Amino acid sequence: MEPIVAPVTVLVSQPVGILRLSGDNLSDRIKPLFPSLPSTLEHRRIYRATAIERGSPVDDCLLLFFKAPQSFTGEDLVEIQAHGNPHNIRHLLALLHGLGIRLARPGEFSLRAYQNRKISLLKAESLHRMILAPSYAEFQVAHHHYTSSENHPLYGIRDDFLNLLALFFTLLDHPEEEEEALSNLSPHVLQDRIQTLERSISEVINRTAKAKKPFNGFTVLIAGHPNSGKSSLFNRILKDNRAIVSPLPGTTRDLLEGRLSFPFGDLVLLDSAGLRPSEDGIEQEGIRRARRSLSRVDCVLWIACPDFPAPPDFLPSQKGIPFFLLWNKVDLTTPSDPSRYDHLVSARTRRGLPSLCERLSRLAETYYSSSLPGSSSLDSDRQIKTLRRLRLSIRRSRSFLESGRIDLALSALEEGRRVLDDGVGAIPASDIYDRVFNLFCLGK
Amino acid sequence: MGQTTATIFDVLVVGGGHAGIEAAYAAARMGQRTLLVTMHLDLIGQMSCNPSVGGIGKGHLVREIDAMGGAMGELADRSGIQFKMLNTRKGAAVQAIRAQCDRSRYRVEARKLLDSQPSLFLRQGETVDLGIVNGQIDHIVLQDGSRIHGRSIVLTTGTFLNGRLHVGLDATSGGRGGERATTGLSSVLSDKCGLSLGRMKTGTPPRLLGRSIAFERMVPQPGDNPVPFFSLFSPPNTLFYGGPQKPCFLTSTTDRTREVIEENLDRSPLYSGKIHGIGPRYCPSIEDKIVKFPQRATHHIFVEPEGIDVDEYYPNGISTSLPLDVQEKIVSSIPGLEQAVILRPGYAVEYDFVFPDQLDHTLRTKTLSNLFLAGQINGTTGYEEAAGQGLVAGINAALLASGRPSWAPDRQSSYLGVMVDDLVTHSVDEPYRMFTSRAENRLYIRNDNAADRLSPQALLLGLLPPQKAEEYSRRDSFHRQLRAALSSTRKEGKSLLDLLRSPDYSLALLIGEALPDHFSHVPPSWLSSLEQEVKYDGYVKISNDRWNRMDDLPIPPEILELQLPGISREVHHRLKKERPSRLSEAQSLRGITPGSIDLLRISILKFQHKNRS
Repeated sequence: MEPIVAPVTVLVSQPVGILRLSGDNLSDRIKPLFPSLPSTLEHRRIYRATAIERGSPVDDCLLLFFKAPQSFTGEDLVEIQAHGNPHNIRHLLALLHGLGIRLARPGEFSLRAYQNRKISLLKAESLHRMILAPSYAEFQVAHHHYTSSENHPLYGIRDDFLNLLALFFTLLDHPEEEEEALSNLSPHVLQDRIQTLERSISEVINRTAKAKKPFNGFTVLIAGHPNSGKSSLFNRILKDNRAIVSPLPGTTRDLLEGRLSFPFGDLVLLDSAGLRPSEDGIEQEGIRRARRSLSRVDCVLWIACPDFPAPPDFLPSQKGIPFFLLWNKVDLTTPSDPSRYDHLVSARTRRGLPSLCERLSRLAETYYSSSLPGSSSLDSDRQIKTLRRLRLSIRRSRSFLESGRIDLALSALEEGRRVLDDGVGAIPASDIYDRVFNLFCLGK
Repeated sequence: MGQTTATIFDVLVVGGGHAGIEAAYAAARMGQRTLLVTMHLDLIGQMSCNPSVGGIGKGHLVREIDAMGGAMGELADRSGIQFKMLNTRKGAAVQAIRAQCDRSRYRVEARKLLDSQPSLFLRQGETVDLGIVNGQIDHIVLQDGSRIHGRSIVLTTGTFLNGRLHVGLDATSGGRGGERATTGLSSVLSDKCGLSLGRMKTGTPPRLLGRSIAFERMVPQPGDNPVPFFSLFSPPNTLFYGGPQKPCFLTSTTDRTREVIEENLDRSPLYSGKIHGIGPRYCPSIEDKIVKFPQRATHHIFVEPEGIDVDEYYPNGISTSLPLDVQEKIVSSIPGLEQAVILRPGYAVEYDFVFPDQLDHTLRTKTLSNLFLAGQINGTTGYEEAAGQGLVAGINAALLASGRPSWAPDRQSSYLGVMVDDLVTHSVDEPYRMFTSRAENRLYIRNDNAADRLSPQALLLGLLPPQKAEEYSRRDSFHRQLRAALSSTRKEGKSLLDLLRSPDYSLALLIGEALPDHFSHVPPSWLSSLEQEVKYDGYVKISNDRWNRMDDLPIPPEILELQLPGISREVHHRLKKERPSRLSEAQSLRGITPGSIDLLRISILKFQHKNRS
């Protein structure tokens, strides 16, 4: 495929900056930039080479080469280690662009690895979860899923599902077996097995849903009327804690996201620019959006100010998440009833901010220690959808089974098999027959 | 040697087993001058394994063969001594008939049927060579030196290719107990025809003398009443001997059986490494069962009568290749068989087969344009699977000989299609047996509607004689009248047709209450097939819709030149090479995974979308 490049390291001043390239025939592609490279590169070798622009050297680099298909992406893969000045890295990117190597889109390396069958979709999702994990514990869970597919909760369910299919196959295709092994092969047994599977699917779905945003971490929403000073508070908290404001847009277009990294995990701060009141209070659409944001966060800071001293009625005690009423700009005015407010702060003078931050970080710490990520939660919304669809077909199957129509029950299950085909990877028929013949001594 | 009419035919069929019978019978019905060559004329239609036809999946095949005007259903009906409908409590889609047959009567009926065909001739002789001219088979050569010419050839050599029989550690050349093997033909197929061959094995139990069996110590297994015959067209009224059905008997192995086998495993050709062929997992030998399922205390044995004139029984479930003295000990360890006398020892047979992905969907080899293969030579097991392939190969041999376009059964509408598609698409790594679980469209391809699915095609191909064609059209018009009556008659504000869709109503009930009496004076199978058609209609529609939605996309040829995201190099390469015109066609290519079909579908939709805007 067409060659791509992406900086692996952030564009800040540092000793080494790394660029990663992937594509077909990469050694030919980069040869004009590194003329000293041999004409064929060897797999997993390190080359020292000077980048040359119009006859003059521009930087001394180390190049790591992985030959297709023995690389992460399955294509030729090159890592260029250059000197980590951001201007130098940008210049190298421009030179590579001149050679027809374009900037990769986010996630494109993993996508290629998936397309070239180097990793499964599940693995790609575990990798994504690993990279974005808001805590080390989360990282470990994702890594556990990534290293061995058997650790993934979807695989356990898939395994149980295939055994169930094997039971159906046996019951329908080997009626003589039913007479022999009545105790472990009958519609009754199938009924029990289906229910057990349905339950374990529901458990995984619920567990994942409870973890809400599986890899976004402890999230605090700053909300309030315009000009109440939300954004300045947002920036002040992040700056004082020397955090990098995430370059990625927030979960919705209306939200700005920033991250504070603590040893126990990330605190994600969201600035809601979107809660816009109209002339007659807050309009319906605004309420809807605010409610949606509120349902996804773990803590809300509502900023009051002299014009709007009280929060709107719909806000308080949403689903029992911590809700703090803040009085901002306390350096200018003080509220008439200070006891109504949880914190009196000033983004400008920093007054009251240390105690607020202390409180938030304690909440975050409790969040990470109490909701230890179970290895049985899923990696993505897509996986939840897959399981929901699977559960639907299993339920249909169960209701057919209850009315004694085993042939229809099997057909419903086979729809579930297609769901898993799409969501987890194709299931070859031979896999199911292997189970049939390993479970039972069949045939005369 | 001069070429006389005695040595020139349209279609040559080599082999007189279940595949050979159907192939020759089909070609002859289609008006082709057909010759069936076999090693022993008296053994045409021999049931070399158990004396039974049908079962789940297999019974479906027999019904389809019958709907195409084939032999197997009729032969089983005319030689049957017990009939049973299986899976009656599991839904109509998975029900099937199984029959116990009189082994010698089956042969007699097969011979009678073939002899009744005016354009069909028989010849005894061993085929030793194939004469190839210009990439086609010109003639076959028999052991006596005769050359016989045919426009198309069907090979159905069963287990006879390089057959080797094992009893204990002794091995002899042979195709079946007491019959010799064909030794030269394997190398002709590999060297002259360019086909690659593998090796398989199967086995049989020892046969027992009836008067030495204590039947009172076993559980009788009676047949069904009324008798569920296979034939869709004019089934017989009674069994061929006029008497009641014969029961089978159920018994089981004991701890002693296990001990005997465990003590003697070193004398088993299977476990001493003498047999290399791959055996069917669903027909394991008793030594396999004991070794692989040690936790299981007993294994059931069905003692099946071999026929009404002989006092011989087939203990189904103790197929073995252990030496005779061990076989005797095994038999005497089983309740009811303590004193049983062995008439013929059990044996295992190893034989060559041709990997069936070297065939196309008409069962024609890709290397020689007029050579067809059918039956166990293609790596299958079972009479029914063999017969089904024989039918498909025979039809296409006849079509080729008469210069007409070929015919392939469709996977979505028949088990025949499922089988052929599985074989030529995926090849085999163990003997292939039909199961209902192999058929995705199981809810539609049922035992009761085989005629609706296949007889119209048989009519077009000229496979149904006038009397059967007539009967099919009477059945068809009855169905239409009854359906019209059901949809125009109302009860409780609903049409009878709608009521019938619900599980609470049966057709018999509705006819009895609300329709003229003449609707009930037809063969019961006519009524039950319409009833199931109506009951399954909705589910079949759902499943058909899904297939259509999924399958029916044309593949624009340009798209194969583009980058196809997610599709591996190998798959892309194969697509470019084979250039399928539709997704369904791509799906049937070897090595194309369901996942890559989905990705291809997405690419096509994107491509169409882009071209439209």
